[in-house]
Amino acid sequence: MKATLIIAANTFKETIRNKVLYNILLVAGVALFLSMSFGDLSVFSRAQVMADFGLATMSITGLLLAVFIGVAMLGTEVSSKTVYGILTKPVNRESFILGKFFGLLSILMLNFALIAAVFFISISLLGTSVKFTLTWAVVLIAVEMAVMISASIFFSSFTTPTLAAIFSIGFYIAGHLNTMIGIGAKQQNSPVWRALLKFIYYIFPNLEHFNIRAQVVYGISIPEGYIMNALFYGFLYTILLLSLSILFFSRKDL
Amino acid sequence: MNAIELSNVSKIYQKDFWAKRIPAVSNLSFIAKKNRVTGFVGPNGAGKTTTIKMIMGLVFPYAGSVKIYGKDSRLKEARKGVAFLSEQPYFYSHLKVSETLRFAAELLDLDKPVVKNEIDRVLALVNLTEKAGSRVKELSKGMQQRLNMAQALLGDPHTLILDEPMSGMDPPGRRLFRNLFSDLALKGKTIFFSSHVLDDIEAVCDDVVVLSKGKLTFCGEINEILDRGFLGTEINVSDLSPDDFLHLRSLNCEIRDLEKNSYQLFVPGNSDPGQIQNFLFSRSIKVDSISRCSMSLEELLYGSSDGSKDSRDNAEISASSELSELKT
Amino acid sequence: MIRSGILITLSVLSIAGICFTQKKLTSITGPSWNQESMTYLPGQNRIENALLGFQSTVSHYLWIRTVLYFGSHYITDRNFPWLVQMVDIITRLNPYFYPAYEFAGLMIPDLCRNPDASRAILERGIFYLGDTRWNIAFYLGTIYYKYYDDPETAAQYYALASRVPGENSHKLAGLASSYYRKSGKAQEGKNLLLFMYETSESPDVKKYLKDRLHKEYGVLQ
Repeated sequence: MKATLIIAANTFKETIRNKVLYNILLVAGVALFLSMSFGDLSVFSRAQVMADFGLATMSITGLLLAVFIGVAMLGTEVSSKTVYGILTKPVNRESFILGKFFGLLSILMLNFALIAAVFFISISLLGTSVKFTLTWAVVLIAVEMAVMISASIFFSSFTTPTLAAIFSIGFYIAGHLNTMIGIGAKQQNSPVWRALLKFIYYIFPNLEHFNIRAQVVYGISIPEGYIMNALFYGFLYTILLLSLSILFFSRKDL
Repeated sequence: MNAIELSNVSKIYQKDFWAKRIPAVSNLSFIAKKNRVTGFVGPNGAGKTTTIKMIMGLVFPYAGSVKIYGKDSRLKEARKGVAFLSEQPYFYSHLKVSETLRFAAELLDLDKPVVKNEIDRVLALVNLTEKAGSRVKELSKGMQQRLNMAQALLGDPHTLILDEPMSGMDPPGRRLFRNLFSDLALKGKTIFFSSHVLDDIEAVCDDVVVLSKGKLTFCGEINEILDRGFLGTEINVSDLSPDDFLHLRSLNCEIRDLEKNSYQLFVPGNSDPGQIQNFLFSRSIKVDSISRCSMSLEELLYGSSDGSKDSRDNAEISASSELSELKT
Repeated sequence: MIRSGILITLSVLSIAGICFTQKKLTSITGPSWNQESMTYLPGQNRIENALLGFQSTVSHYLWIRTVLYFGSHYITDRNFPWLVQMVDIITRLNPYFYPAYEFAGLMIPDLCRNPDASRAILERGIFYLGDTRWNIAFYLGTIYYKYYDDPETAAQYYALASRVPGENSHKLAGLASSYYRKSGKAQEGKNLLLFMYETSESPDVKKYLKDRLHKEYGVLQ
């Protein structure tokens, strides 16, 4: 546990000095600023557009961080062999994986906190109160990004950094198209295809469960128990991906 | 208990599913004893780095077992008190020198109060005190290798495993490392290191392990291997009469003319030098010096480079071929 | 070994939990959970530039979303606020995407109560697919008659539909003729049928048109 925290702290320090982080934050800031003017293009109020766009910006920023920095966390460390300095000490490989995950998660949470602060202040400046559901939407996006970080670490544990980045982006896209697979499964006549699609539907992540942007923007009520179930779903998926990462990484020749 | 023990270890590399399987190490067994300095030598591609990586748990053997003080090398407990120095320094470039060492010290679970003193101590040992505040990316390659050594010395480990520790070092750096090894050896540390510089191995090591094409060719004391390259005894004398010449030649002795009235007698390894010495004593011939003539470790392993054709070359060639057939 | 066992067990338990939670979330939310948001989707030319040549691909994807959107609302509230915009964007991105025009002709006028939008989309379709798909002109004709009470324009569109080669073109011509008569332009209707009769080579078509001309205009006995 101690080694995990030490590695997490070092990861945080190393990442905070990474220029990629600031470029991504800059993009997020510009996007949030531009979203203020998007309301004029829309039939809905500025606050609603800002809310929707702000949440989308957080989601995309989180994705960029999770994929590009997440892949660098493990993949680049293995290829540049900086991992030798850690794993030749009395440190488990699982402590390394968990340390990297928590380090990157803490960076992501910090960034989210900054973007969310700017976002909430902007919403307030437009004269709209920040709804409770908006906060939950941000929390769910953060959970989605935790799943994405664990996914990029998972892919990095057995493949090259470039492929890991591609797989991670594919994972995100597949996660958001998962609902269609479920519908497709119901429409299949062949039992084999139906079973296969159902299997893919359940095994592959459904990242849409973390997306309550439309509900928040249009004021649609969220069913009772939904948020807790979605959080639990994200937690379980993170556990699964990290377990598999540790399993693969423990057998990897460095 | 031995410091390092390999039993029937094999390692096969296969880049991907369809690629050819390349054996890096085959059926390797050797031991490195505690409190001894063991050199690990072999030509390029012999499997030295693969073996060291298996010892440090970075790579897993296909077959066999690797133990450090009786513990499986894959366990983190096996690495307690064991320091590793890689061939190239691999550091986080954004961290400062002091931050790098602090990180290493924390991973070694050193007590907080001693960390600062420990960092100062190791930086002083490798002459990098003035660079404590610099970022790693600002250091030269030699300085980074010294930093590498500094992080290996943190926590005063009882065992050091070093992969080509003097690679990329300038002469002052190499001298620094050599002195460090000598000090560590005097303190009773266990050192296991690979090197291409066989003079260093000869000068510092108690034992040597020789690898060739992934297989063991020798494991034992360095004197044992050097004895196998023993060529003979050289005796420098003065004032020999023609009768002395004849008698000495009959005793299978080679005589070489040096300066005026000085001669160098060479007594081949298979002859008894005692007989020669008795003769010289009985004739009251002045002996200026006596020295052993052996092949260097490099000559033993790789043969002589100048291709000279005297009887000693023949002895070298026969010793080399004998060496290649050695088994532990 | 033990560690691997723990990790595998953890993974299996996580998968079981994931499947259970996935089912629970789907049952909590129901089919209309995923709302379509087209709030700030910019105009066609701005989207087109951003799509880097993948307009056709995106139009297919949007079509799937449109069908899912339609289905989920059809079985719930029968309210389709975004259907017009979605179909409009699809036909702008890919003007050759025929199914979208079918939707525009059949669903939008009645279910969305927006014949104007339907007309605008179908007129775009006439430009791109008017020569190959008779249905587009046919839907336009129906809209003009049913919603704008304009039998003359309806007749013109039916006549346009009849010009598309196919086995029903003579029947469309007959329909056009009926609407021409309704709008008081019987001569136009008669000329249309006569032209078709004279240019047709099929005996069945000729018989059909002859009967029609005789019944409606008293010619070609």
